[in-house]
Amino acid sequence: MLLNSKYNKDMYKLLSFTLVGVVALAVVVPAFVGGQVRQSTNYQIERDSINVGGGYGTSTNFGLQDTVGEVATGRSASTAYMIDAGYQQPDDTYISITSPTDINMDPINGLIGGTSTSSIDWTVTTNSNAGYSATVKAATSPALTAVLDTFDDYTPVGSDPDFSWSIANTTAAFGYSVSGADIVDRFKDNGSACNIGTGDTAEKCWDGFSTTPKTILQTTSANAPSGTVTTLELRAESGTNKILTADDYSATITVTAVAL
Amino acid sequence: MFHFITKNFSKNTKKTALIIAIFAFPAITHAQYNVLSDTVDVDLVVEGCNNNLICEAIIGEDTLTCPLDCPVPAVVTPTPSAGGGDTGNRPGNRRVTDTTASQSGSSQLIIEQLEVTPGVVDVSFSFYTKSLTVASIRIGKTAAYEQTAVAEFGFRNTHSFKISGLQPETRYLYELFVVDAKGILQKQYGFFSTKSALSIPSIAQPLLDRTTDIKIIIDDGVSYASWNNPSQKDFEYVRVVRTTDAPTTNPTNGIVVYEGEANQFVDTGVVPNARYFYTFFSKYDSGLFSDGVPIEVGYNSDVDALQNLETYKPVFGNDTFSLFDFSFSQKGESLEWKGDMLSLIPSTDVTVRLRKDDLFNTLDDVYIDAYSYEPDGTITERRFQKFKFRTEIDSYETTLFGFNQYQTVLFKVKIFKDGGVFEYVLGQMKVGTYSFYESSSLIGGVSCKGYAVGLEHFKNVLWCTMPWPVILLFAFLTTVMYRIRVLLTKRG
Repeated sequence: MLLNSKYNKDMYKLLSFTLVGVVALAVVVPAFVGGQVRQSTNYQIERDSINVGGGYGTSTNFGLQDTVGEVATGRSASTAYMIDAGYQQPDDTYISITSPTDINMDPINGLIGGTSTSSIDWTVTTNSNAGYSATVKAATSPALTAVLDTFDDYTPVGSDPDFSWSIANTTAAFGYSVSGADIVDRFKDNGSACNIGTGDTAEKCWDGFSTTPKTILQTTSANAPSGTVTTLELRAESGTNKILTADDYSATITVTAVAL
Repeated sequence: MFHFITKNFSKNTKKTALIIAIFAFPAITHAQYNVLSDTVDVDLVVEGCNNNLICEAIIGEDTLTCPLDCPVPAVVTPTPSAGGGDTGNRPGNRRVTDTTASQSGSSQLIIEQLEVTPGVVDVSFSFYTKSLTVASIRIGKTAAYEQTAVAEFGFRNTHSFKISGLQPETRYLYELFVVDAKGILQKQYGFFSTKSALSIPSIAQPLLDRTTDIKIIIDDGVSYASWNNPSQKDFEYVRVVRTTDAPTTNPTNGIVVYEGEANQFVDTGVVPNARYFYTFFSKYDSGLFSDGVPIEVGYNSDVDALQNLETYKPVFGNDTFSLFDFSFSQKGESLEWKGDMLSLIPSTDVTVRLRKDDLFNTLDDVYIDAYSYEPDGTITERRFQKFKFRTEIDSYETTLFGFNQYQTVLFKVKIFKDGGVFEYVLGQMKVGTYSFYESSSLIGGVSCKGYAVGLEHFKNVLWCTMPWPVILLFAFLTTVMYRIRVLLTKRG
């Protein structure tokens, strides 16, 4: 379309102002229209937004959900709080785990044998609605070692943990049991056996460490902000007919928690 | 959609898109941290054979698990005399042959006629093997034999070692190896204790000077001791050991009540009327102790029961000091008595000077026991010192105590000298309640009288004495001033 220069210029101005105005309106107005969460019997829309644009695009390998038009978005933080404002803002999933101090178990006489039991508490906290899981592993195999001698890793009789600790009097072993609200079924008991029932009898269900992580905790919901305490009971025993070299034995135990 | 807008619109539209992009940018996903680990170290001590040369069955030690502590009698090498010197009730030299290392034909290796002769700082080994062997010995205070190792060169039947550089009266473990030309090895373990320096015959070892002129007084549950230290250059310190049954010849037996370079001490850990033995050992740089000098003290002591005892018993006399014998000062200024009350500056030391009295002879050893105590008799601080009046006009000075505020304290000095104990209660003081006394001073050339408190000589001025010319001048000037004022009044 051919127009004279002045008209063309004025129209250009008009279009420009109009466009800017529309865009500004589109940006501002939705800010006063609240998003509404909808749900049916089986589904729930956790987040929605009315804006000037957005949508869901896909390619062969990727999908993209985008939104245009929100104002005052982004992260703001004070000393105690933080907010990620705006639709399409992801929730930061966090998980925390306490760091208990190292422990010194009571000594054992390596000539006449003996038992030493101690425990470590960890508190895991997550805001993940899917919960968390945690594993335990030892740094070495066997776990409790000295320069010249070692404790065997406790070996349950079957595939499940032993309900009661038991070793031959010619051996020395080091193992653990777990107690707490989030323990996996493997460490739950029915009062006489493990991996069955819903009980959590103290100092029962003994297992041995491994350098391969073993899952000890599993949940399906968030527990923030209070978290959940889990106790790892440790036991070392040298049998009465076992001669264990006198020395300082040590083990390094690692618990890893993952927000799901 | 965003790409569509930017691709097809004009320059201003692009600006708008830029604004939108700025608004939209913070929506970019933030990093997430959802895996955490924690590691704990677990320590466990396993106890076992402690190689302390004591066979402790209660902790499981036996000949199998702890051969050093629990030697097998059946394999102990026939033991001639224990090498001399290590006698008495001590465990003595012990040894055990390592049977696990024995092989066929090892009977030729059996170490025979082993003699271990510990000295004060060395030890000698001698033994015999039927076959030709090379021997080596390791020595240490622990089973690690960390002290030293020596070995022979060449095969032989008769073996001897001398190892020096040991500490007196210390137990050492040894491990003795013999190996023959076939490589057959035999071990023997044992231990010995080096001798005490005190056990050296004086003719074999230069006599170490002992402390001299020892005097001890027991009074009111406190022992006061003084002595003269040896003058030998390598003298290090004196150790005083207290025993109750008998004097000790070993500086490590008994309660060490003093160790240091001084020549006096106060032992407050004694019971009145009990019997004690103090033995004084002089320690030298070489690590050796001199023979002890035993002293028996106590009111019921039998001084004749032991030889070479120097005793010093306090005898209470009837003479007393007078107030005249003492003078007092604080911060270098003399204090004065007001009745039986001294005015003192709180929390400030008091220097007490004792002038020589006829009660003392010059060069007598005099002990002054100065202390303060609460009205209920609780002693708050105590000083005990020995001194001599060296001339007839000599005096002795000691520093007493900086009393706390708001405390009522009595303090007294008790003097000990040969032949008597003299006690004088110096006085009492209520800190915070002062005695006022009259004092005088010159203020601007005018002599004034006032009341003093402690060392504050002019806390309150009462009146001053002015010379007559000054008074006349003062009267004249007053009159002149009055006249001038009258004249001015009339004119005005």
